[in-house]
Amino acid sequence: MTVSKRMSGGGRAAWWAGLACATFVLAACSGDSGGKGDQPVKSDDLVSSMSPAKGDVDLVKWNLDSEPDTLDPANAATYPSGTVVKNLCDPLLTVDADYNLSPYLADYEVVDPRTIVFTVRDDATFWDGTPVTAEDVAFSMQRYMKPDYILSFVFANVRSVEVTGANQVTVSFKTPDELFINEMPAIVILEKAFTERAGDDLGTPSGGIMCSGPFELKDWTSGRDLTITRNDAYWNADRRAFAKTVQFSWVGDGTALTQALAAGEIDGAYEISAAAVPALRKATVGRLTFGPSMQSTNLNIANPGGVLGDPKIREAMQVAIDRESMADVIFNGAAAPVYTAVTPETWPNDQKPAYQAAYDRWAETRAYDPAAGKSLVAESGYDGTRIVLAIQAGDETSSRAAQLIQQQLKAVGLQVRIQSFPPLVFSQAGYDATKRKGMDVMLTSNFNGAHDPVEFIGFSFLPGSPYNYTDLDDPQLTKLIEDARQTFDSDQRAQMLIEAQDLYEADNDVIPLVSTYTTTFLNDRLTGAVTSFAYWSMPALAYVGAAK
Amino acid sequence: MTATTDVTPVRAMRAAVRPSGIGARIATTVVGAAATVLTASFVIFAALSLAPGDPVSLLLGPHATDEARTAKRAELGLDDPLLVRYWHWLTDALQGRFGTSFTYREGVTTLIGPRLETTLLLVAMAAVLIVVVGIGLGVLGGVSDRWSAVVSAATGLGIAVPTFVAASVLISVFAVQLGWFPTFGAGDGLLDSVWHLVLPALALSVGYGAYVTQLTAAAVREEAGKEHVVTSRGRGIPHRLILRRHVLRNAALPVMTASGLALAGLVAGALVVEEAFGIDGIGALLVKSVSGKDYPVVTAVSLIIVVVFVVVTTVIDVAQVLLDPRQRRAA
Repeated sequence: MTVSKRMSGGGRAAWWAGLACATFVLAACSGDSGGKGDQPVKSDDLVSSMSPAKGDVDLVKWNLDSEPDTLDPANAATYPSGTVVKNLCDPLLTVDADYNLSPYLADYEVVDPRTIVFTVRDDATFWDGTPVTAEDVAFSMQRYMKPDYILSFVFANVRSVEVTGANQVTVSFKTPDELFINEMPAIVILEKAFTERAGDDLGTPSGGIMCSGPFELKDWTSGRDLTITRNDAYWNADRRAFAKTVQFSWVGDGTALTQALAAGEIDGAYEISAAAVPALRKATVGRLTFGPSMQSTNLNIANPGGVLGDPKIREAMQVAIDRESMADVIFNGAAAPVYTAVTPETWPNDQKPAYQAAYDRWAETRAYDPAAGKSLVAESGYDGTRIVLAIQAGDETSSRAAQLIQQQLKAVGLQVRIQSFPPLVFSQAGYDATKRKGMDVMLTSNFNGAHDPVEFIGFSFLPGSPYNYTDLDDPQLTKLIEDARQTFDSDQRAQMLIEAQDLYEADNDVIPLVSTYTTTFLNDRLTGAVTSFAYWSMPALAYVGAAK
Repeated sequence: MTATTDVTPVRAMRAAVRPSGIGARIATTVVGAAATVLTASFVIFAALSLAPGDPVSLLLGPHATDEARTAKRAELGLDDPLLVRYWHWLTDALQGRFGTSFTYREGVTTLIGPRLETTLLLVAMAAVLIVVVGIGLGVLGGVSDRWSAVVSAATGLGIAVPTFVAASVLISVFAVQLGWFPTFGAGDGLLDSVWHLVLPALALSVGYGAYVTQLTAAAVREEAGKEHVVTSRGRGIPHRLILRRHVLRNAALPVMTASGLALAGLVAGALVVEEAFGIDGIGALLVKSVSGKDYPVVTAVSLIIVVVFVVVTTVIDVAQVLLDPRQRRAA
């Protein structure tokens, strides 16, 4: 005889319990889902920096995408690493929130196209009190030049860096290089003695660094947090930090970060993903701010030849995609349509009218027109082969964008197959042609480090350059780009680059989609943050302080 | 009429051929465990090798020259054949040298140390929940008719809900809306860490705990339905005594096996919880290292997970032998 199970009050209780649990779960989950097409942010609503801070604060808790992999400035190329390093270390030249370049640790003079002389200021000191000298500057720059370092590309055209006076460092070039000046905000100065002693440990949690910036590295517990404290003896009163301590966390999971921000446990974060925007718009403890950024999301033709070797198909793709919808719906309003590979935010401040005129022509040529797209496809030799669209796995926005593209290309008669790749493979495919076999077009996110179109154009449209996937080799184009890089005159350079743009855009190797905004979340008890992408080139956290 | 066969000589022969006794049984189990760990380490190493992607691409960035990449690969020994690389790693590992992480450029042991502490605390808290609440509910569900259906429904829900959903709900309700617990992180210091890890431990214990509850309830029900139990009840022996002496003691073996397996799997399951709660434990470290193909870190962390699993299951095997008189005799 076994114990019999009677359907009793217990059974019914179980049913109610189950229903209660289900309702619980639904109620908890529904708080996070946002609506589609939240009101788009007009470019006039973009803000480069918030209203200035009113007073000091004791602690600011800031989130990074992930733990910095290193604080060695020569290798600090990721968002988290770069953000922290720029708050700790000073560059020779700096930018403000609107990318206006100005002297910082040094002033410079272009003595002749192949020689730039930096004059180092005499009142800057490192955290340990020792002065910043020309030796430290020359040492730091020479260190960047080692080919092992990620940022060594900045010095590609430099022949030598030498101390040529008490406060003077001279950089000699193999070929003239105006981009070098615009890359300077990324090049920071380390103390020579400390760096030599630290050896391979420099920039690791155990080794630390010695710099001269508005914050000092207080503590880095690997895996837990990274803390920086205000340098009370900072040589530049204009950038004295408001926050006494900034504690960095690295909650990588989007949902977890949103919840932490909404609960006020983290004060702020840059690079809020488009997917998190709807939930954060509803947060009551803080606000989202959208700022201008040089970042963009594009389609890159991945190989010469193949299905997309046909120019008419590429032209069709340019007009088949509704960039406005993509910006509003897929990017939740945190982006704007863009019609050239070089985004409007990248134009030099003094050349905007010239670039705008050229841009407007492209915006007209590439305006959304599915009917035109259909006829272009009909005229082309398209035989129905599936176009392989490669995306990086694990990113919700990429996935949705790819689906929209697939749908809209289908509407003009092009068949697309979406294929996702793990991040490591996808990043390798970014520079290794063998990994791109089998891909026809890649959905990529791009950003410039320097506020200078030559950087992106050089990497993308010169023969043999890393992002030139279609083996584009136009001698006239090459000459324009190389000449532009060697021209220090701003007007002349703009002319050359606009001409170059007309050539490479006509080849349709890049189908620009949207220019993404820098999206920042900040708790209402704070203000002052730099909210344009210039934050990445500045000690942005020095500006964050009390709102009242 | 058959003559009884004298089995004594047979027994003596067998004893001479096969080592007998509990000691020998335990020894063979341990050797088997070591072999498992060794094999697992090789499989993990080989699998990572086969995964697509070149670790150097993340280390040097997109603007590096081909020479720089080749030099880096040579420096990290990435071009050596698989067996050579595995051998180097194994010989170093056996001497306690686990190498330097590719991405962090720091010693693997330094990276793992603090993170392991966090994960172990999380796992320990979840283990307590599973053992106390999981088994407790299981016993309740097995013994009481009234509660049986409720426990069954709760178990079903627990098994069905994925860990990350449980995590999200817990944070949403208890951290954001009620504010009783922090939303992320592992805290500083023991008391603070325990407070931070309450919700993660809950999320982690939901799935495994439900499994333990279900098995416990089934085992208890089965034991409670056995003849000797029914007979004892019929003879008027107090319920509590029956429960303790007959039902629970006999159900202990399957319950212990189920709990042991659940606990063994906790370290691996901690991965999802760590990601969802922004806890930097070895699970989160493993996720990041796998996507960057950081061999030294991946192999070391995987090894820890495998060793924990093997140790726990070995302890269960040994405990079974010691607890069950039938197995003791067979040994």
